[in-house]
Amino acid sequence: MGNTLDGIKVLDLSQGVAGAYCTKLLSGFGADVLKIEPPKVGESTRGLAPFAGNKPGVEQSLTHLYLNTGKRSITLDLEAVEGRDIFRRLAADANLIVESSIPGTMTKFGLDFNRLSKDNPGLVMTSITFFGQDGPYSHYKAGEIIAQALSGNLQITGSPDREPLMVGDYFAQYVGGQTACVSALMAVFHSIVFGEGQSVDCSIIEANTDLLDRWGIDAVLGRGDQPRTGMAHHWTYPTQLYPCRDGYVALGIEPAGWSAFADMISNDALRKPEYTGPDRKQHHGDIDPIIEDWLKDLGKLEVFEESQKNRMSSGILMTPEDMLESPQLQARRFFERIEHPSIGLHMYPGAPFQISESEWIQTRAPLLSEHNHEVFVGQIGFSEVELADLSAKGVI
Amino acid sequence: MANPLLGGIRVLDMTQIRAGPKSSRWLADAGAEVIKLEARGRSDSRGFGRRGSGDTADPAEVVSVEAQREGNRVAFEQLNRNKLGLSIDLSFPEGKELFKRMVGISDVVMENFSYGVMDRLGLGYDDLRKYRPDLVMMSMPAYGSSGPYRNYVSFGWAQEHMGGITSRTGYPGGPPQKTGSIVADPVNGVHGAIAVMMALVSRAKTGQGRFIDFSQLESMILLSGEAILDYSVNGRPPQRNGNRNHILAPQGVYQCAGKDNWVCISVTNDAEWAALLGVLRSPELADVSRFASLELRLENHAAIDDFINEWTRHRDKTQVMNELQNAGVPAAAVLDQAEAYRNPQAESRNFLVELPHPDGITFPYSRSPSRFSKTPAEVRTPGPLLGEHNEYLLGTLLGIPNSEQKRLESIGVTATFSTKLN
Repeated sequence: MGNTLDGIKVLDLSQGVAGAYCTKLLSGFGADVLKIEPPKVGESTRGLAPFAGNKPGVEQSLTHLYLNTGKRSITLDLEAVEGRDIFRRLAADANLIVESSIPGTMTKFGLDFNRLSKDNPGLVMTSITFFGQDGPYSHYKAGEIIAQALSGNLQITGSPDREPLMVGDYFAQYVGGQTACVSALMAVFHSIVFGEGQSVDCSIIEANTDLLDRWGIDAVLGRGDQPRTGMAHHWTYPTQLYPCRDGYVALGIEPAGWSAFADMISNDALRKPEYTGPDRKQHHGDIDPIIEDWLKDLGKLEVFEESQKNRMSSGILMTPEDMLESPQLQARRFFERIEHPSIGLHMYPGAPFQISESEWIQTRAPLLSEHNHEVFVGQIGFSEVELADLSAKGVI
Repeated sequence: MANPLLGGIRVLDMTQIRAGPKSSRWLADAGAEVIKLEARGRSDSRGFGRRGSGDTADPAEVVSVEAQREGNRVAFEQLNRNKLGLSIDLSFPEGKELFKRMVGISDVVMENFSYGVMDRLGLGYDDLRKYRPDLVMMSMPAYGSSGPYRNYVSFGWAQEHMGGITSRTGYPGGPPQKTGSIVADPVNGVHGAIAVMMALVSRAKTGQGRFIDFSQLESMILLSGEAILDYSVNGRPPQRNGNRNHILAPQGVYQCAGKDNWVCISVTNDAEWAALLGVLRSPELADVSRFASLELRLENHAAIDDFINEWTRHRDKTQVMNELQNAGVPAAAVLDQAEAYRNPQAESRNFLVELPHPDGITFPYSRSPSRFSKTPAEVRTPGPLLGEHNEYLLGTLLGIPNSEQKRLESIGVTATFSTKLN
């Protein structure tokens, strides 16, 4: 059984969540991903919270341990001329390079797409940056909250009575990583079929603006800005997060509809004709207390099962604990047990989707420089003496 | 002419609403021939947004042909530009036969019906492979094609909460909040496009087709990996930290002049803090005993926030961003949706383009967030009308004579936007 991306060679020079997520997906489906890290400090996800035991350290970041599964790690200093020469040798038979440096850096190093593709015409080079390779903001500093702000997502998240709110942790960068991944695969496909490589410029901010697809263009057309609506859907009702006994229910009454909902919670007060139509949201002040009273003694899973039995699309707010215990995720063997020297044996999320006749293979994240010997001696052909010399000079 | 990015790939796209059409939009932008399959009385979400309020998205919603042609088709246009329109009613045996013939000349079939619908129609993967042995097919019901939840119904609304991202979205000490753009569908849409591309890369090398079992829940959980490890390794449940970050301080969203205008600032090191002080010129914040290190700034964050708010609240958000960025401080104007598409950066990269629609309206479209140096992914054509390309697809590609096409339309197997509804 061949794996989906067998034989695809990826050099991952990227720093941060977006690039790491992009190549994690490629690695899981069989691509050979070689992570090229700065000597000593390593790639920047190693410095991202949360940390095992709350202690920072290059092998302690849970973000790194999750995002770099399945990859190999070598260290290489691209500031050094020798480092760049070694990189060129690796690039000569790579299918894909993923990088995230400040625009212009790769050219400064003589490692830009035009130079590298001379020896490897099928090469694809994907650059992931917050702003993209050009434009008046491309030299601005950015990070997670800044990407959420400039993409238009921050303004519409949170309570109408408070300041806009960011979506948790590294969300915008994950979205950037997804976008880079699909784009890289398209360019690799094109290279395999037509023999032509190319460079791909991915903007994390534009990838996140693209999340606005359904409603954002309405605002462009001057049809009104979407308000912040806290826990409630901005349009339909009672599509809303409500507290219940042990957590939160994400209520959704379709496709069964309002009268089926009134039947389910057996409350005749909900049967007023003015509640059945599309203007029901106007009456939320009367309806919300009825729903909250119904939910206060119920467990989230009870509400979920009862809703589904009645063809309603409710969900629940799942915590990691709920996920690990979910009968659905257990039946599909979604979580995978992986052992790592610094954290031991733990459950990791598995494949984002299942592809027939191929496996998702996820091995632990590499230790910093774990594969230096294998790559520099075994693959490139340096002698043990040369390897020691490179190490002594700080090139690796 | 040069080969498009996905030159030669034909996709039969049965998906509806948002996640699925987002997946196939990636393929359509990249130059695959994506054929949007609809049927008379079962067209995809063309009325969304037009009604303005009311019941949530029912995939079986019937929107009249007239309604499809008028008013707000903005959401439909964003998700379905660059696609061709084919209408075949699969409830007719002749409709199924037409569909199978289309599968025979297609590379990919994508669908997001409830689990089991395609099998019940006799159009499951094993059936369709008879017509196209190297077919790539993706089924994307909410909870995947196996397990006790496989028949459960869900829309994107529930999936962002099931997938866990909102358990880490909220003001400190407060409840979870929904995401502004209800992100599960577009996130799952991109993962879906990744899945199809992996299968196509593999097929290009081996000649083998694949079936993709896509669970929207599982796809969404992938964005919460570190939080799951934080729980299992450290025993820590999901945290809601508002806009704060415990290794960056100050970080927050601050009020600016005007109504609902804000700027965010995120200081990542001491040098940026010094740069911020240089702009704010606040003698109080220069107090090294209270603010000189990350630890001190985290401890006195509320006081810093007050000083920053005092400075920002009479200033313009864009000017604040530019002034701080030019001083080396990470900052951004919090853009509303229209500004996100139209600001100096987006305009410089031509992120928004316009196309005239056959209906006589000019629609704006956002371009692909990725730029390909040799095979651009451009917005080329507006979203298709119902059955707009029936004649090309059934006549030119399948070779069905004109008279036969007319007969099929007259008995309701096919329809176009100009067919009279009974």
